[in-house]
Amino acid sequence: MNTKNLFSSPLSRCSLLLAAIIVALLVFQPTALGSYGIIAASIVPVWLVAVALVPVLVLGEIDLSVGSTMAVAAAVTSTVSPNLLVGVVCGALAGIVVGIVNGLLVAKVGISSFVATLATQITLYGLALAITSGGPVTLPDQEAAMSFAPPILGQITPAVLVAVAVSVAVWWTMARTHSGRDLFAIGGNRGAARAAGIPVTARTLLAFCVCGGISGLAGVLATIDLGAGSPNLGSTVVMLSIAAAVIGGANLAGGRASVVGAVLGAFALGSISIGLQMGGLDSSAENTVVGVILFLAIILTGQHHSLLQIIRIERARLSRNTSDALAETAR
Amino acid sequence: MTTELTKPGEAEYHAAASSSAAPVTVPATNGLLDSIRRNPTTTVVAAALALLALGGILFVDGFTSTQNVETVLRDAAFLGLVAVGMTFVVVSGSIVDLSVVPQMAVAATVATVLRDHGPWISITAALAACLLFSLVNALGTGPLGGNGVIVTLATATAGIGILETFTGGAQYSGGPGLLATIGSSSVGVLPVPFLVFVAVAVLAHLLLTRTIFGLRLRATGTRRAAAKVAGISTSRSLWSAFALCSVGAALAGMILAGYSSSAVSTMSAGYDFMALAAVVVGGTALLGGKGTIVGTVAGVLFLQVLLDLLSLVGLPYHWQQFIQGIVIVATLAVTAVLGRRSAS
Repeated sequence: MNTKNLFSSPLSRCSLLLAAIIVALLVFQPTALGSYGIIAASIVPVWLVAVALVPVLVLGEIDLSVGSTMAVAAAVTSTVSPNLLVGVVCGALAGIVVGIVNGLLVAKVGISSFVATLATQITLYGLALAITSGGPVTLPDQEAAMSFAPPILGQITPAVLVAVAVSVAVWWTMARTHSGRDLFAIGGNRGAARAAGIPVTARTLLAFCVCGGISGLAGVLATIDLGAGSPNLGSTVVMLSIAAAVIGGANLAGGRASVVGAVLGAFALGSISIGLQMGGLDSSAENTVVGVILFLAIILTGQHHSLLQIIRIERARLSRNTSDALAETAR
Repeated sequence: MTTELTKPGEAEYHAAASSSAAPVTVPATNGLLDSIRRNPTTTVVAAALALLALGGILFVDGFTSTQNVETVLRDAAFLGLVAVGMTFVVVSGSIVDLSVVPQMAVAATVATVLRDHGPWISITAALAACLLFSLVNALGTGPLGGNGVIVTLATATAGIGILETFTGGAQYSGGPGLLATIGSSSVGVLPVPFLVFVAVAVLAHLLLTRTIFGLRLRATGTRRAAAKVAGISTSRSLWSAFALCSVGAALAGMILAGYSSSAVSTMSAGYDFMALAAVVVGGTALLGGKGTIVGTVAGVLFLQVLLDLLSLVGLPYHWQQFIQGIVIVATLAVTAVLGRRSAS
């Protein structure tokens, strides 16, 4: 019975997956965990964006434009001003503006979020290309950017601390505030939430705003890290961060997603990549392994019940009892 | 044992088939209005396409030149073959097939590498390789109950990884052969790839609207649990949808390789989301169950003509992407507003 409980929550299954990956790392690449700072720092973009997606995913919506939002924030940060602080603030603001636009398209205009953010993804990538004229733009104030690079707490860099702070803030908002709890209610049953007097439109706007802002921040941090703003910054981050959130137990249909899970998922995916790179495997092998892990995650997490459900339905069908099958489906 | 269940199911198909055929008997004058009311998105995009084309013919130099028309139609054919296949996946309720990117590259590489063994062996091998993707995709979205985005993301990532492991990222150059002939020849002003696309689109349209298979697919996409209870093998419907998408991607990849007489793992980057954009702009519902091939074809032509006009006008590449995105957003916004108005 105990083992069943261990596997019953998506979060515990995700923790188990992460534990398995860490054990595998310890066995095959003992040196990898010694440089935990490098792992953490390299995960920051996917980590932040995965956390950013949590409020949106809880609603049952999705934001595909997060990668392009990163790119726009990076482009703004590196071009707007010779002063790094101004650039950083403007970059993060750009992310929030993008979030507002996405939120309006979804909540006010009524386009499905997958489609709306697919379109803004294309648009914003174009905008980032246009701002940077297609290539990376070096930050004007390299010295200020470099001052963020050295670790300040063991191997932990400032960027990692920012990611930790953001994660805690989002977790707190989701778990302890009315607005955060509202998101779960809306994702669970939109109609019921509306009937209960929850301002669905305002909450949807808020979720997209948070998502855009944090994605923008991820773009800014990546720009400082690189010393340059590149329009191609976020292209690989989108799918990896959605994958991280899903491995962490997020249900794309809404009502369920967790900040802790998203962070664990990002670490699981990131550790695999770093471990394989340290093992001397090239990016093609890395892609293959990440794809396979993702497929395993589909089996392990989230939709675990569906196999049992299918068996039940088939059984009910074989016993020629249609009403049973209907009841099972409704469950 | 199961006959009792399948019989009411079959009866339902026939009932649905006859009711879906009913609008045909409506007088022709109402037929057009009726189809506009039923597909507001397709109407909007078709009107926008007509406006764009008219504007291009009247105001843009070189839009009607033979070379330009050939380029637009050929590019539309590559995107269109993928998008028509993708329509089946979207209608089936699996949202998207992101693995069309590796599938195109795999088909192109396999067909180019095996060129010396004759066209039939190389084409069959390329198709078979792509159908493997559809098997895994259907397994993940069907019996395992995974979300289409995540499942096909997994196969897309692994697929590119496996392809690059085998090729080492190398570019293979092709040469004369059946695919090169198909890819680069034209009949009058119409490139042969475009003719292939038109033929595939007509077949796909008939498959989706006139066959029991199409009906089952739409039932699966509308409400999978209900379709299952009605006796439809939803797993088979899903696999067929992914298989058709694979065939489309394989054709696009092979003909693209024939046209450019080369194959490399990065050749198909971006086709996944562009094809999905074409499908969605064409009015296919992302939630599944509803969609038309006609709409997808209009969406493909709309995107290609728009891109062509923007580059003919002399807009830098960076701004082309931006404007294209804005236009897609505007189209979607107009249809969303129209859709709500017609619903209320």
